[in-house]
Amino acid sequence: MELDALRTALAASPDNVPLLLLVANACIDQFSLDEAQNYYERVIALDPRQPEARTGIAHVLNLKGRGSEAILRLEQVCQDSPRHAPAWMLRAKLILAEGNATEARSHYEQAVALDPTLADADLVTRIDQAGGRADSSRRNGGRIRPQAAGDSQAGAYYDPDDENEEEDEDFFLDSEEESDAEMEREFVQKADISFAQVGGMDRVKEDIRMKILYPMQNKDLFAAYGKKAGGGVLLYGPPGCGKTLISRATAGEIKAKFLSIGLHQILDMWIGKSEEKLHEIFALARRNAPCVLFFDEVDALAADRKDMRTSAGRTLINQFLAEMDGTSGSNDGLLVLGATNAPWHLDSAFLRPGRFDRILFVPPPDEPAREEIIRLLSEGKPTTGIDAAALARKTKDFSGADLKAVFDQSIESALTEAMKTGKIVPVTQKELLLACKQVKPSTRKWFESAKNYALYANQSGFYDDILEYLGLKK
Amino acid sequence: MQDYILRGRLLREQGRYPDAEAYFRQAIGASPDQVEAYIELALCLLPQEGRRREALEIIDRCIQLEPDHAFNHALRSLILSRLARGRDASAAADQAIGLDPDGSFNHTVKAEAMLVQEKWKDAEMAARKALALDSDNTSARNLLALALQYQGRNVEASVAVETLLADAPDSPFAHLNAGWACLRSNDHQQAEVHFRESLRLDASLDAAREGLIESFKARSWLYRLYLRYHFFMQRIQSGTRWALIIGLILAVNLGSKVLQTIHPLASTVLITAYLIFVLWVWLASGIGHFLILLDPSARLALKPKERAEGIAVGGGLLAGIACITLGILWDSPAFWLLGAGLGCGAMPASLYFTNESSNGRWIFGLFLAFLYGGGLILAVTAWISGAKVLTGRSETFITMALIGTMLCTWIGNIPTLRQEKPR
Ligand SMILES: Nc1ncnc2c1ncn2[C@@H]1O[C@H](COP(=O)(O)OP(=O)(O)OP(=O)(O)O)[C@@H](O)[C@H]1O
Ligand SMILES: [Mg+2]
Repeated sequence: MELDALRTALAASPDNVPLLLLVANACIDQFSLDEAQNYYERVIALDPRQPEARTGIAHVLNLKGRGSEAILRLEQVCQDSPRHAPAWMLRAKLILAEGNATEARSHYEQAVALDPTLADADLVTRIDQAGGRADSSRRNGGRIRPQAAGDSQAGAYYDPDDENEEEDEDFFLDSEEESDAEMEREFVQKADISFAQVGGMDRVKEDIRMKILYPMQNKDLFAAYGKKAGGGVLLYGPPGCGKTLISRATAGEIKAKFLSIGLHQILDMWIGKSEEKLHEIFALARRNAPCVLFFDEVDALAADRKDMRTSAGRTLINQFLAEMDGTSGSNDGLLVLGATNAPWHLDSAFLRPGRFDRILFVPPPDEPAREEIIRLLSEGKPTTGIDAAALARKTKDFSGADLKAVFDQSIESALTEAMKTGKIVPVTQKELLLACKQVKPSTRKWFESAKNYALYANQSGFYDDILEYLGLKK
Repeated sequence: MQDYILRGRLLREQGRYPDAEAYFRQAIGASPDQVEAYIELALCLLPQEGRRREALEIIDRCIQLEPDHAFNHALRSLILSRLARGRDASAAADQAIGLDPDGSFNHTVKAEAMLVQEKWKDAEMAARKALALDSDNTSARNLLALALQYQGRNVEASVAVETLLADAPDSPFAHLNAGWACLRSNDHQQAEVHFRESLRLDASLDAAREGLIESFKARSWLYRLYLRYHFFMQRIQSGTRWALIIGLILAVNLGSKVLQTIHPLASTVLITAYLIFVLWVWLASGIGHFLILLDPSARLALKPKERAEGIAVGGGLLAGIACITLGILWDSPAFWLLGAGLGCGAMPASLYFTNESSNGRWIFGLFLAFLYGGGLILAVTAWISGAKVLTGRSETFITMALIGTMLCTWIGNIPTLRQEKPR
């Protein structure tokens, strides 16, 4: 019944990846293996590297009794998407079934390290038993035990020094020797969206064109007027108003390499005290110049040194400053783009000339911009009678993310309805208006604190845009 | 799992509490009896107003898991202090001290618990103890300076503040403290400098913004007089405070009876003076907000509710007086009623907008609504009917308004109905 409803929903939006995955997983639960495989394949047709679908296919293959083929595919998934925990988990289970307990344990640990919620005490016991038996069987003089479950005894004689395993360890532990290719896989931002998919933000788009795109594309022209193509640009503004999105879109617009470093990777650097890694990223960017190096949530890396208790923390910040100054290599053609919603946490040293010296304020979307975002959000979804302009009027102070939350909420209730009736239930204006009342606009709170900074800590006019936005300064 | 905690801690230290919280919750999900993750989570909730109750629940769980760890109790004490539960905070601090008498932090939280209970002397002793154990403890230094200020020992307090500023010139709290010290020694200009510096260092520090507002208000000598009274009342124990208030009323009563025998006017003068004093004590802050509203640059510092208070108290009082004057001049009951509503409204308004106690907000808010609503309705009816004298109903309203206003000055003293933010 539930599956039927999902199939109907799928008929309405056949290219909806999350829905496809949902249906496929439901099919597996009902043991409709061919159908499940078909859905997974449709996902892969849309996005060849989609790890969930690729893992799903392996799962299906295994259920169809083609275990070794499944393992081969999983190896590929783990290599291409090493952070996709379920692939490692499934691989652990299948490898264990093959009898290779040591390798299974390594995969299992990998999976749990990536996603602790996957922890599975049962599986651990089975791995332990498989490994344990290996030991005792050696003590028994290598007596071959009866084959209990298929050919799972091979693991009993597994050599822990096997090459395979070493390769695996290399892949994860030896980050210092990561090749360019591996670094690129981690940091290169796919050029998958463009400015067209970002609603409103006309001024920011124009600024990005003038300050990033044109200089990078017409390096020589700019040089003729004594202007550099590179340098630092900082985007700041309230959360959820499209800083990350517009940066990703910049990657889609630019004809240069775009490396993106997110909060997780920044935190990794902190924990690993890894100035070396930061240096490597800059070196990679320099080798690829013209190149944009994007640090999302840059305040986490360019933190105020005053706030850092440990000197180890300061070293990384100092390293970042040194890299931005180009002390260890020319920064010609290298543009460092930073985004933050807490610019006040930035060490003021980062705002000096030559570092982040071009500052762009990303304000909340105004009414026409909201209308555009609403249009973008409703694209490709079953809707009826939606009046984007009316919604935009009702959503003052909403950020793009708030609008997305409004849509998510309405879509969820429509989907619940669809599940019950087994028919497609479109999202209506009424539902959206209802959701608008439930979602609290999130930008006001940000402006509350931003206002204080603008009033009392506005050195060299950094926050003038905020004062202007709030109408406190003409 | 350790990884989650490390990441979360980094984020917490940078003030990114929601991100940090997510990591700590993940760490807890992965292994539910890891005390470290709970402690981190509590530390992450503590600075967020409105989430301290959760912090308390979390730290209680920590203590269940690890009852002999002094830090857990100390943290619990700190959370309780921030929840204004001074007595419980003090007990928790004692537990921490019992487990580790040489921990400077344990005495620091004790000092804070004592401050919350307005036991300035004990707070001073605890802060000194903490400093003896660790002379770099700037929190303890801050608390010591505060405890001295509250005792009115302004000279010693100034010295303590200077030491603090020398030790930690970049600490927003040091400047906050210095600002208050200046206000206490009647130097509102220097106070403003310190509050501004505190805000420059950390613009999210609301206490500094509030201090700045006080320094603006203190530009008027009338408000400076009020501040002196306020600091004096702060210095004495709450029991003594009540004794003073009641004593003053009795004295005025007695005085007026004695004066009555000399000349009736003398007694009226005494009672009027007393009433003006009472009104001034209650309305000074709201009138101060009103005056700030008149200054285009200073008014930016006000929060919406403080603006509302300024308008309702200062504006209401002015408008009320104007209406009553018109009522007298034109013999118009409508203006009388309007004036009574607006003017008397100043009193509950001063107890409504910036009151942190929800019970208090209910009581004073209802009375305020009664005054505004009743005044308006009766005034409109009087206007329409064109009556020249007050009707019986209108008289009852005015009597109730006056009695209610007087009652406000009484029940406004009940601590649970009138919570200001702790300073
Ligand atoms: N202008 C926009 N057009 C379309 N969608 C938007 C726009 N702004 C925000 N959104 C939606 O909101 C989501 C969040 O936006 P984004 O992550 O770019 O915000 P952010 O400014 O980076 O926030 P934070 O400061 O919290 O990192 C986006 O994924 C997108 O769905
Ligand atoms: Mg972002």
